[in-house]
Amino acid sequence: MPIYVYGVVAADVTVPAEDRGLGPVSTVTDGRLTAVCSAVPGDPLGRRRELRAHAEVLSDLCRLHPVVPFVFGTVLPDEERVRDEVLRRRSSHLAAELQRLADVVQMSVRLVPDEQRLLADVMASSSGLRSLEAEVRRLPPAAAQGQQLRLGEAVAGGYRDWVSRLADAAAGRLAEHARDVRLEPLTSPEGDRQAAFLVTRTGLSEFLRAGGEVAEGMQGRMVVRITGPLPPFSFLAVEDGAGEPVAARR
Amino acid sequence: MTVATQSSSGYLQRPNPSGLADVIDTILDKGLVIDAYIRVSLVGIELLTIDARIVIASVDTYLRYAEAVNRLDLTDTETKGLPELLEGMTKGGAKNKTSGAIEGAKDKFEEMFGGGDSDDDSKDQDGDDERAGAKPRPRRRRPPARKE
Repeated sequence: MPIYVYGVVAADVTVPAEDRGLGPVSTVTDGRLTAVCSAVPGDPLGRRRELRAHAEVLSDLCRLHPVVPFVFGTVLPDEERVRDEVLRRRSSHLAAELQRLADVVQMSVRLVPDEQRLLADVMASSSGLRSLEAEVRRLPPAAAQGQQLRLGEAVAGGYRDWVSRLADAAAGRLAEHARDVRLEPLTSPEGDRQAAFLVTRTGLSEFLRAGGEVAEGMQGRMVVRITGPLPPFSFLAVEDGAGEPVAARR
Repeated sequence: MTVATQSSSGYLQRPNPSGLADVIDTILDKGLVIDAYIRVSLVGIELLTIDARIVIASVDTYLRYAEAVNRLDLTDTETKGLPELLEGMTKGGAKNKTSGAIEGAKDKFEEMFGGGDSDDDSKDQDGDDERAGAKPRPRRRRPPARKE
C-alpha cells in the first residue's frame, strides 16, 4: 500500500496512532528520524478531510515536538522507499532542520480589511478626494464619467496605501514577538493580507496577546485572524544536496 | 485550527476549527517536497485555488471605488486619521476597546465545498459528497500575485 508522509520528527517522539482522515497514523523509523505516515489506498487526494488530517496531525505534533512538515500530498510507493528516499537520503538535512527549528512553531495571521470603514477613513483624510467626490455628485451622470474614473483611481490608491500601512504596522507589532516573518503577497483585490510568523512555543501566549492588541487597535478596520500552531512550513531551508532531484519549495 | 481557547472579544479571531481556510495555501504550497513524481494526483485542487488572487487595477475597479465612496455617508462616520490609528495600535489599543461583533469572515473552504456543517464532525462525511458540493472551476495556476 502507498505510504502518505505528513512529516518527520525525531525518532524518540511518541506518535499517537489516531486516524484523522487519511488512515491510522503510523511511523517509519530509521536511525535518529521517524517519518509520520499513513497507509493510503492511493490517489487522488485533496478532499477536505484529507487536508484537515494533514494539518491536524502536524499541528498536534508540533505543539510538543519539532516537526519538519511535508507538503500536502506526499506519497511514496512503500515503507522501504520512505526509509530510503526520505529518512536515509535526507537524514542530515532533516536532522539539521529539526534542530534549527526545535523550539518554534508557525502562526498564520490573516488581516481582512473592512472596506467600507477604510474608505470612510480615506475620504475623511483627504480634502482633495472630498472635493473631487463633491464634483462628481454635482455633475450630471453623463458628464461625470471622467471625473468618476479619476476619483476611483485616487480612492483605490488611497485605500491600498491605508491597507498597506495598517498591515505593515500590525506585522511590525507582531514581529516583536516572533523570530522570523514571511509576508505573503497580496491575495485579493480587497487587500487581505497574510503573513506567517515563527514563534517560540513558550512565546505563544505573548504572541496571541499582541494579536489581541493589534486587533483592538484596528477598531474594526481589519479583522485579525490567527491560525496555529503549525510546524514551520514557511520557514524551511532549501535543501542543498546538489544533484538530488529534490528541493524544499518556497 | 488548533489552539483550544477561542476568543470572542474584539476583532481578533483566534485559531479555531475552521482555520483550514487560512492554512490551505500553506499546506499545499509550503513544506518539504520530495521528488515531484511521487506526489499523487490531487483531486479538487483546482477547486481550492481561490479565484480572487489577481490584484486588479482596472477601470472597473476604479468605478467600483468611486461608487462606493459615493454611497458613503461621511457626516455620520467617526473616522480617525491614519497616524493616530497607527499610534494607537503600536501602543497597544486595549484601552480603545470597541465593542462589536467579530466580523464573520467567511470560511472560503466551507463555501467552496458547500458544507456548512461543523468542522468537528468532518469524519462523518464521506467521500463523494465532498466532491459533489463543489462547483467546477477552471483549473488555473496561481498568477504571480502582484506586490505593491
